[in-house]
Amino acid sequence: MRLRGDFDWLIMITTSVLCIVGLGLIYSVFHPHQNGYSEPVSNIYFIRQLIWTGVGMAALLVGFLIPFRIYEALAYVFYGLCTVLLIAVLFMKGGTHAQRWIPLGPIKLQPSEFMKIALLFVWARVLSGQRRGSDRTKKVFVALVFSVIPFLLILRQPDLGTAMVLFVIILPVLYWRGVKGYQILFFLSPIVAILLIIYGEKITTNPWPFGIYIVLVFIIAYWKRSDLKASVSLVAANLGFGLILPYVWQRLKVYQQDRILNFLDPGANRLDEGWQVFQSKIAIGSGGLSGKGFFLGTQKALEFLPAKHTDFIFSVLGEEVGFVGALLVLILFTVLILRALVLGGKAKSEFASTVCVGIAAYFFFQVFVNVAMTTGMAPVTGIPLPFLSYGGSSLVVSCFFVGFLLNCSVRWYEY
Amino acid sequence: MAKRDPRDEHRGKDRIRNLVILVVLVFSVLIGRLFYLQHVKHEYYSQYAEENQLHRERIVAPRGLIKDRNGTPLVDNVPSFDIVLPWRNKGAIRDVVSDLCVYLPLDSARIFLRFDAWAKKNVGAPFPVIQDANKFVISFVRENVDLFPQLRVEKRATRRYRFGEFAAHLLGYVGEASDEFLTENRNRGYYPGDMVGKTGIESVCEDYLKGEDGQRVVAVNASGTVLGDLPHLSRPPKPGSDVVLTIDAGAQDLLEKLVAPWGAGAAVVMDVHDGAVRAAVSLPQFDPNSFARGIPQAEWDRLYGAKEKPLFNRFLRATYPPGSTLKVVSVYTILANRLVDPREALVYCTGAHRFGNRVFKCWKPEGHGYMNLYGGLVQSCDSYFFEVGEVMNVDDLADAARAFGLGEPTGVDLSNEARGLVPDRSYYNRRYGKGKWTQGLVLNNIIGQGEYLATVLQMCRVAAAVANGGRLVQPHVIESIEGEEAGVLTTKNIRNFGPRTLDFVRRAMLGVIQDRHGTARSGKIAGFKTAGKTGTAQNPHGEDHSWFIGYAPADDPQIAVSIVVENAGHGSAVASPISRDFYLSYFDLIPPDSVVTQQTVGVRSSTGREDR
Repeated sequence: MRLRGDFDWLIMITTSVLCIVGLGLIYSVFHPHQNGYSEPVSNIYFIRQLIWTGVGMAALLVGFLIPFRIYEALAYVFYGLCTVLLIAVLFMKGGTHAQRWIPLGPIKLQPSEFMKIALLFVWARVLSGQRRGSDRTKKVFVALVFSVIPFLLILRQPDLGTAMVLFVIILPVLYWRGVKGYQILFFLSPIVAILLIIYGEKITTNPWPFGIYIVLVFIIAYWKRSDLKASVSLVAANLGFGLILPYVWQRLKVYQQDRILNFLDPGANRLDEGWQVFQSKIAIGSGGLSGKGFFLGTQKALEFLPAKHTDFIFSVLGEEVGFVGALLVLILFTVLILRALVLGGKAKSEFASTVCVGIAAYFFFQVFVNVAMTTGMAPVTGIPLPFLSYGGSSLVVSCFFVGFLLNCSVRWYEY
Repeated sequence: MAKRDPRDEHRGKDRIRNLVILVVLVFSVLIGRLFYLQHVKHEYYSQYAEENQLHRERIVAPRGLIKDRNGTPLVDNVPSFDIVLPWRNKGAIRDVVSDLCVYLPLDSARIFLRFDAWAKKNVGAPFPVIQDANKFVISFVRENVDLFPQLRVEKRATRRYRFGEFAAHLLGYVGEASDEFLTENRNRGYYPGDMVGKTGIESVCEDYLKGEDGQRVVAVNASGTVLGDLPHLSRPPKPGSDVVLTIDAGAQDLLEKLVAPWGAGAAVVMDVHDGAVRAAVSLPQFDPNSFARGIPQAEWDRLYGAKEKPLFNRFLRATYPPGSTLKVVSVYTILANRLVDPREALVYCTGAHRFGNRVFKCWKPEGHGYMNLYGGLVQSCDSYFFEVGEVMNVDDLADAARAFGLGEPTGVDLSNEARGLVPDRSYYNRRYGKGKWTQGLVLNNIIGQGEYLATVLQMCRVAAAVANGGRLVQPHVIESIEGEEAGVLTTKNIRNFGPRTLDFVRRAMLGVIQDRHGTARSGKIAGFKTAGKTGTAQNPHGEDHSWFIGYAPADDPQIAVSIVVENAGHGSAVASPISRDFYLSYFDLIPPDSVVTQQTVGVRSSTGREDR
C-alpha cells in the first residue's frame, strides 16, 4: 500500500541528533579531563548506552511500522501487562530504598517507563469517540481511574517524581479532549494546596499562604462558574487534602520529605540534596556561554553528583558546551514537541491524535522537570532527560514514541 | 473508529495553538534561567568551580581484636594522633611547615624529606606532618586554628599488644606493607604505609582482621579549609573481625614464665581430643609493640642479629632431634611389627652395646641390668633399643614416625611451619649411596639421635595421639573468627594402634613418671597421675636439649604437653619438672599462692578476669 503522508524527516533528524549528543555526553562523563579525584576512566556505560540506542532504534521501527489501529486494539492488553510488571516490582527487594526495576538477566527493566506508553494508549482509547456533555465527564472519570492505579503503584515503589509526571501528562491530553482550561487549573489546585500546607507547617509555621490560596480558589471558581455548590466542594476538596496531608507526609520516606523541603526552602541545607543542586548550578553556571569544551568539564570529575550520567546529565551538557549547546538541545526538544502537537492536530484518527498530544506532553514534562531540577527550579526527582540520560528503559520508550509520531506522519489521513 | 466532529476542528486548532504557546513559554523560562546561570551569574559560579573541591579521605577500618579462648583481648587498638595537612602543591607544604617550625621544635629538613617520599606514593591524600603527636602538639594545633587553619588533628588506631612480649611469636606483629605485599594484593584496598600483619595470627588472619575501609568526603575550599562533610558520599568503615584463639592466656603465660628462666626453648600444650592449642611458647621473645609503632632501624638490627634469635619462632620453625621422646614411636614400631616379645628380658644393659666394630653407649654408664620393653621405655634404656634396632627395618620406623605425623607439617593454622625430617631407605640411599650405609644408623634413629628432626608441635601431637586412643589430631590455634567456627578439623587414626599396643605404651609412659626407676619421677605429683617421656637430645653445638612430652591426667587425658629447653641437659632435670609445675597450676592442684611461679603470672588461668 502506498502511504500518502510524508515521512517527517525533521522528527527523525532531531531524534538522531539528541541520541548522538547523549552518547557523547555519557562518553565524556567517564573520561574526565582532570584525574585528581575522579573515578577511573570507563567505557562500560558508553558501550551499554550504545547497545540501548540500537534497541531504541528497533523500538522506533516497531512504533513506526505497526499501524496505530493495532495499538488502539491492544491498549488494554498492554496496560494490563504493565500493571502486572509494576506489581511485580513491589515484590523485588532491592537496595536500601527505592526499587524501581525488574532485573532481567544483564538488563534492568523499568516498568514505570513502559507504563507511560500503556497509559497514553488507554487514555486515547477511552477519551476518543466522545461527543459532548455528560458522556465526557464519565470518560474523563474513567481515564482518571486508569491513571490512579499505576500512580499508586509507582508511588509505592516509591518513585514520587515518576508518579507525579504520570499524573500531569494527562492534563494536556484532557485539555486536548475538550476539558476546559480552568477546569484543569482546579484539577491542579490540590497539588498547590499540598505544597502550601507543607510550606506553612514544616518551614515557616505560617498558615496565611494556604488561607489566602483557599480564598483565591473560591473566588476564581465562583467567578468562572457562578456555581456556589461547585465552588464550595472545590474548596472542601482542597481543605480535605490539608487534613489527610499529615498522614501522607508521615508515610513519605525521609529523603522524599527532604527533597520537597529542599525545593521549598533551598537555602536551608546545602550539604545534601541542596548541595547536589548547588553543584549542578555551579557546573552549568561555570560553563558560561560557550562552555568549557567537550571532555573539558571539571565539575563532572568531582563526585558531587552520584547521578551525573543519568538524572544530572544536563549539568554536564551545560558545563561542557555552555549556553549555546544547552539552548540547541532545548530547541531540538521544542521542535520535537511542536511537531508532535502539529501531528496531533493533523491526524484524523482520534486515537492517534490523542496519543500524539500525549507524547508531546510526555517529552515536555520530562524535559521541563529535568532541566528545572538541574537548574534549581524544581525539587530533585528521578526524572531522566529523554535521549540524553543514561538508561535503557527511558531511551526505548522515547524512541518508541518517536516511531509512533512517524507512524502518524505517514498515516495521518487514516481513521 | 470514531470520526472527528467537524465542529471540533477549529476549536482543536485553538487548543493546539494554546498548547504550543504553553510549551514555548515554559521553555523560554528554562532558557531564561539558563541564560541567567550561564551568563549573568557566570563569574559567580566559575569562582565556585575553581575553589570548590571535594576531598575524599579514607577512614582506615579498625583492625579486629585477637582474643584468647576466654575472651580476654590479647591484641587491641589504641588511638594515636597525627597532625595532617591537605595539600595541593609542594610550595604550600613548605610554607606551612616552615611557619610551624617557628613555634614547635621540629626538624623541617626531615619533614621535607619524608614529604618527598610520601608525595610520590600518595597523590592527593593529606600529608601527616607530625606523626604520633603528643598532647602539647595537639593542643597547640587546636588552639592556633587561626594561624594554621589547614592543619588537622587526625585520629589513627595503633595496634597494641596488651601484654608486651606475651605469646609474641604466636600473635605475630603488624608492620608497614612491603612493596611486594602491595603488588600481590593490588585492588584489595591496601595503600602504601598501611599496617598489615607480618607474622603469626596477624598475618594468617589478615583478611579477616583488616575490615573494610570507610571514606569521608569533605568539601574543601582553595585554601584547604574544610567547608563541611558530605554524608551521602561518605560511608563508615567496617571494623575487622575479631579472632578468638584456642589459646588459654593463663596457660600460655604460666608456661612462658616456667620456661623463661632457662633462656631459649619452646613448648606446646594441646587439647588431646581436638588438637586445640592451649599454649604455644617460643623463647626468647620480643615486644611486637615496637613493630606496630614502626620499628627503628637500630632496634631491628639488634633483634635480627641477636645470638639467641628472638625473632625465630621455635615452636613452629625450630626442628630438634627428638631424643628419647622418639622412643614412644619406636615402641609402637616394635609392637606393631611384632619384632620382639615385649615381656622378654632381651638385654642385660651394661651401659654400652656393641654393634659390629662400634660401641653404642647407653645414657646410663653403669647400665640398667636386665631390661624388657617396658623397662626399656620407663628407664629409657638405650641398650635395649640398640638390640632391637639391629633387626628393625629402617623403613618400618620411618613409616611409624610418619603415621605419628612426623616429617611433614602438622597443618596448624599458622604459616611457614617446619617439616622436620624422617629419614628412610631412599633418604639414606640418596645421601650416602646405595649399600654405603649400615644398620648402625637405625640404632641411632631408634633412640631419636640419628637424622630424625621434629618440632615441639609435632611431638605434642604424638603425645596427644597416645592420650586420645590413637588418633592423630589437627593442631589449630584459631577457634573462631567473628563467631564463625574456623575451618574443618580432620583427624586420622593411626593404623595398627590397637588397644593392646596402646595400653602398653600408655602404661609405660605412666611408669616413666610413677615408677621408682622412671626417668621422670622428679615430675611426679602426689595424688595426680600423669604420663610422659623424657628426652635428651644431643646437640653438636653445645649442651644437650632437654625434652619432655606427656599428657595429663593419665586416666582421663585432657591435655598433652611438649617441652624442649635448649642446652639445659637432661629431660628429667629440666623439661619434666616444668611440666609438673605447669600441671600443678593448670589443674589447680595446690593453692595458687604457694606456687612460686604463680605470683608472676598476671593473667589468671581459665577466667581471664585479671589484666596486667
